[in-house]
Amino acid sequence: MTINQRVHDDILIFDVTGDISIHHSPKLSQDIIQKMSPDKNKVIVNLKEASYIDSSGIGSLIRILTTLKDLGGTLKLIHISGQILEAFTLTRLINLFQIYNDEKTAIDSFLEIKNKQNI
Amino acid sequence: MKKILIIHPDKSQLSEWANDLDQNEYRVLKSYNPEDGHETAVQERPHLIFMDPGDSFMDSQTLAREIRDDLQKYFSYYILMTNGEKSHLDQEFYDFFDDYIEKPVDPQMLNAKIKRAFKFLKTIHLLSYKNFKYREKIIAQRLEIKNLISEKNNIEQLYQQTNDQMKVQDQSNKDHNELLFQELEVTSKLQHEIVPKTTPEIKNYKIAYKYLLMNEVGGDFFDFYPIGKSKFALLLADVSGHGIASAFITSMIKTAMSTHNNFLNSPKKIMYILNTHLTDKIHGNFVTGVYAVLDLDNPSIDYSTAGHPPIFHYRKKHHDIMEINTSNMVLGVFENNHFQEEQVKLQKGDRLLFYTDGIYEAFDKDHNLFGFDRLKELFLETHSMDIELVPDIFLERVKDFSSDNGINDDVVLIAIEVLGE
Repeated sequence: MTINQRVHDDILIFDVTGDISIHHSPKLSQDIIQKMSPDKNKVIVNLKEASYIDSSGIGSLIRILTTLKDLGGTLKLIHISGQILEAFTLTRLINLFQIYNDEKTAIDSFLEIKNKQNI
Repeated sequence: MKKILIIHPDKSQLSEWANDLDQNEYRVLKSYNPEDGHETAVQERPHLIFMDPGDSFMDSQTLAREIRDDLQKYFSYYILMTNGEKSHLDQEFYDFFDDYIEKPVDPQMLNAKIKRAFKFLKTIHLLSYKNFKYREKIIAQRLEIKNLISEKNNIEQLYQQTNDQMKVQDQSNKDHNELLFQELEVTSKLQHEIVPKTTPEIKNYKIAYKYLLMNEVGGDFFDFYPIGKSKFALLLADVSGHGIASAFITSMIKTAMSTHNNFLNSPKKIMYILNTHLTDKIHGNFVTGVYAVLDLDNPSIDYSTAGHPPIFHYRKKHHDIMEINTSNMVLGVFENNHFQEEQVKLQKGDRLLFYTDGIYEAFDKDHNLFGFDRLKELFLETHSMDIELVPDIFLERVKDFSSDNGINDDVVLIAIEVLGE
């Protein structure tokens, strides 16, 4: 598993590649959580190139989600398909996470929140 | 001012010479006998000493040596006044004197000798200064070497200390690891203690199960709960992750179940209790689970699943497999007051399969997942086999499929066959 970080405005975007299994999932949550702060609390995890997730990987995403909530932020997942979609469906966590088809929609949804706040 | 001492017995002659010398440049000290000359030399430390102590060269030599002995630290220039005899001007002469001047003394020669002497003294002074600087450099280098040696010794000492500390730390780590290993062993034993060790025999059903832990401790848990004479319940839980933390959470589940055993009849209440018991306490972990209550008199199952893969229900009459589950979210993440439960009627020959995800999350050499569908097909394929063999067949089949002949996660498999109507 590899994690590549990008930044779009004040949004942190992480591209995850490979298997998110018990051997790698602690790294997923550690790497992402350490980049987060009250000022950097908008996170998108792109799972387009992720091929597999097990329960520990889902646990890591939950850890990121709950930490972000403590920081007053939001986690959005994009490009979920195949086995990863099955795992989210099976665990009924599909409704717990904010899931978007693509990066643009996810970024726009952050901007909508920002615009509402400005109004 | 330049100091010149003249030791000479003839007072008038001595004064004459003194008068010939520039009084602004030289201070002339006069002594008329060797004793006084010696004393004056020691007290005044003249730059230049003329001596004519008498007729004997040996006397002059003795006086020069004695003055030199007393003025060791000070360099003076010694000039012997001679009568023109040159036989004593050998190497030994220069051991005591630096020059000589013949009598009668020519004033010009005297001045020339004095100038030459002071020139020599200046050279000596410069040389000695250079020597001093050189010595300073040497001393600085020696100090540097000394410091380097001291530093080297300190490093060696530090290395030795660090080495000793590492040995102590190694031993401490070894002890610590041993302790951890012992604790892991105890945890492993405890974990095997908290799950059933024998297959329950219940009316109208036959049960077979398999429990595998990937490591010494794991996150899968199951238990059986007889409820009076007419019902029998089972719980299957899968804690995300592995290791001691997951094992500890399985103990929390066991405790919650024994504390609330008055709700064993109600799957949704059990799910609610477990979720309430775990939420905010398991820090980023979560639990999937299934709780099912079998009716022993009128075969049926009341069940509730939470984020768990569906129970497989093999229906003999239709020769098919139904996936049965409820839409509850995983346990231990958020509070939830609305857990669902469902009921399914069972018939003779029907089979149920409860399992944790470790059984289908094995990969082959091409990185294909064994997967849910293969598991389902296998359950159908084994419908006519003795139910007691089914869990073992599943494990064998998954091992054959897997590239590293292994299952990467903990596994619980519980197969149940309905024997009665």
